[in-house]
Amino acid sequence: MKNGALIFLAAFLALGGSWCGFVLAPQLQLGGIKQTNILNSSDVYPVGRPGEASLGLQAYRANGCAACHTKQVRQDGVACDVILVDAGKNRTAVQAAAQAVNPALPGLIGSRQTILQRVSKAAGDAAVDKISAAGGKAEISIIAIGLDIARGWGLRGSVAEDYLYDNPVQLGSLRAGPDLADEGTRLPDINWQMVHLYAPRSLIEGSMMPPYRYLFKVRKIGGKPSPDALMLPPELALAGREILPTPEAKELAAYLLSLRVDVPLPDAPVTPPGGSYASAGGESQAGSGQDVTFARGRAVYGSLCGLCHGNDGLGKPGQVPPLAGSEWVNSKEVQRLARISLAGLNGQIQAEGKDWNLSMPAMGAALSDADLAAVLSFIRQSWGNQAGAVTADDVTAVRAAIGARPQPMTSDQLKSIPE
Amino acid sequence: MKTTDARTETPDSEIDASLRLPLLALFGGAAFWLVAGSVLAMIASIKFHAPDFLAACPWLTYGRIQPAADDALLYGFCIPAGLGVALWLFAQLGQAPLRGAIVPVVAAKLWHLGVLIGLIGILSGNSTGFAWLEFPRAGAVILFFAYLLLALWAMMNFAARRDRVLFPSHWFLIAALFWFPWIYSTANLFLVAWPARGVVQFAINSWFANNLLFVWLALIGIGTTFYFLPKFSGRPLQSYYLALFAFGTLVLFGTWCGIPPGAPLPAWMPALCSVAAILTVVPVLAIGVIAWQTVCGSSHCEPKGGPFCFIRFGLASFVLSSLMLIATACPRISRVTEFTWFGPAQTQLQLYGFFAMTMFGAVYHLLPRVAGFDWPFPKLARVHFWLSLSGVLLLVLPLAIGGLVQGMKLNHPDVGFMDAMNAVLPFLRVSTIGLMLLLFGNLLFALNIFGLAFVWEKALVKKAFAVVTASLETEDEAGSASASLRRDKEVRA
Repeated sequence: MKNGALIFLAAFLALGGSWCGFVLAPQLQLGGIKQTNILNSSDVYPVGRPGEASLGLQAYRANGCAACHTKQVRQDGVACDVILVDAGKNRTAVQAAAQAVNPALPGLIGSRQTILQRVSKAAGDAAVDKISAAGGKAEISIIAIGLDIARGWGLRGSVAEDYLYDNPVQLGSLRAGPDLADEGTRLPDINWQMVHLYAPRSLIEGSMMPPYRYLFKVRKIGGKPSPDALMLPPELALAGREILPTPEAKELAAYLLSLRVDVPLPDAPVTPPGGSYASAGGESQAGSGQDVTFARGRAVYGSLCGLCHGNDGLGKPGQVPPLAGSEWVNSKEVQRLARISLAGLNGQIQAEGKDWNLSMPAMGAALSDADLAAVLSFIRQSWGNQAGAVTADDVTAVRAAIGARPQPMTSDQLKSIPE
Repeated sequence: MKTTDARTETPDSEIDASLRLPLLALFGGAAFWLVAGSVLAMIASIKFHAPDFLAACPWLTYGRIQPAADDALLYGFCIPAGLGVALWLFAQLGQAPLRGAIVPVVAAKLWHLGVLIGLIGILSGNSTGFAWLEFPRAGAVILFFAYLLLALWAMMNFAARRDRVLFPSHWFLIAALFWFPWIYSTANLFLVAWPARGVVQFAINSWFANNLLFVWLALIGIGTTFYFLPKFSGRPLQSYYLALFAFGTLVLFGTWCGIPPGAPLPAWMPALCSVAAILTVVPVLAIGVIAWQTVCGSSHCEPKGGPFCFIRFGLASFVLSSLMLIATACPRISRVTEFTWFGPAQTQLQLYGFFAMTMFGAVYHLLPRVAGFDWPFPKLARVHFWLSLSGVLLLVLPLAIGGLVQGMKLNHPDVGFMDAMNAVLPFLRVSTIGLMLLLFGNLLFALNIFGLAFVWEKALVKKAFAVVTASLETEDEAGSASASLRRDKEVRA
């Protein structure tokens, strides 16, 4: 019996220890966590989800979305970019210093030029020292890197602050579907989200997600069609009837749109817009520059554009126009095409002599100029398209022209832009 | 009873008789939930091949039916079966009959009622949303008190034991008995009743899930195995001190696992978990060595398909599933396996390959003794073993390999997400076949249990009938005897 008491004591202490470690200690360390300031800003983060979105979290819980979806971007670490802020008076000395740091650098082009990409802190500091010794001014920009980030699932790893106002916190443990932590920036179109909930396979071929028809109801169109009704592809549209989302569906969609991992925090810097894709598989790619760009374009297309436009570039009847053989894609000038992908498109558009209904989300925040150029080149040279390639400079010019927060355009506005 | 049945003269059958009702209640309900859980898991699995299958019904959507299937297996089968086996082991090792058996019977019924309420809660959309803790409040409270009653009665039986020796099985079972109320109350209080804020919930949830799925199941399962190994092999456990060492290191290190590397928590937590997981190799290997040394070199051999086969397979699964768990706690491996089907593969091997199989073996051994009747279909036990074995292999292997494929594809940012998913689809198809075999096996198990219960009830009715008719006859005899006595008296007078 003496042994018995000892054994009971040992087990008690073991469990008590881990209770202190993983129940009590997290509560003490994180239980009182507060809002933090956003990096280089006086705004605070997080600010809680809007009412409808926070109700949507309960729809997410009740329907067990977490069984297949995670909400957690993993980050592998940080890297440094060295940026030349000011070349100073002695440009040649600075250029020599910069080229000593990075022999592949073509030369000094302008201010805020990236000298080194994705290096360690020590290497970055050494480069900054060398450039300032030559009379220039350089700074280090810290960038989040990771495979999830490279996939475009977020601009940085998820941190404790991201979940502060959620109850229950469901990080998920299986990715039978994509990660949703950054769904709101990736697929910000509410009609897309609703149609996807209603009939996932109508938008994503081969999707294994079950349709959530029970979150919608069918109604006869009375005098006037409801503004809430889904804009459906013709194969799903019912004559004389419309599909209306229930409040639960609206809340769920609002919740999905509220999911974002793009706010830079002091202890969690982000990869600047689009830098995400530039970091992917840098070393593994061999072959000529053109092949690399084309492969890059195909990858970006597959993970974003292909969701709607289809891997065959044929689009979805009535909703998403085809890219193969499209006059919008094969145009001589690329401004209009770049503008659509950067800023998005609202309302109906005519292409191939037909009307298309689904609005196109803005991709400017998610893609770098180089990646957007790669993907535009890819669609202009695939499926029988034979238009010229798009360069990163073309995209940069359009991005600069439309400003930081462009509004989605309508097709009439687009027509004023030269082809 | 004592005077009518000659067998009750020996203490063993007195012990068995005292356990009969509680164990039939526990195992009967467990067998029902086992089959129900298999059916739910089948439906969930079919949805990966035909997403439209039963999609119109919110109660049967994948996100509800999958956790319901998992919880039916864990809370419906594993825990009550484990408690039943623990009750029997305490009585058997301590040579003391269970007193006040009506309380564990009521507690067993309460437990199964709690599971029913919990599952209805999940399917109707009232899940709490926490992994392995989905049962809503009403179900959880019932489960908690039912468990307390069962554990209390087991401990009272332990305290009243006639054989004062403390066996290795005792350590494991006693630790398990108090483990569950602690973790279950903590998790329900700080996640459901007064929820902690933010990611603290994730830390508590992970701690709870690990302590239930890894530690609790290991304590009950290994405690049971350490009783059966010497029994079947005819040799004492090799050795007592190694078992003590395995127990100590298991509770010391095992309880600190569970938080995956890369979780959005302060870095010390996943780091601590990784260290603890690597140290957990020690008890796992020690348990493997104990089993190996106890079984090997014994001339005694059970026929194929007997309870020993289940126990042996369970032990092998324990070592393998634990090593899988430990591997996924290493940051480098976790980088591939995290968020893939490798996780469910590990869980299923632990729940089904290890724990359920060990329980099957124990139940096949003990229930005929307790009920006093042989199995109605003894040959089906053998079929059940082979169905379970192939089912587990066909479920776990494809999921584990599919998980690795999925992880490696997803770790390449240039591979599209749908391409990675489509690469996993063939593996999911095979795993559905595995689930189907498991369902058939579980049906056979339930058939045997319900058949046994039916035979027992029939015998009970027969006996009651016999007792009633016998008493009527004796009354008649007594009546005639007294009449003759009176006559005698009258004659003498």
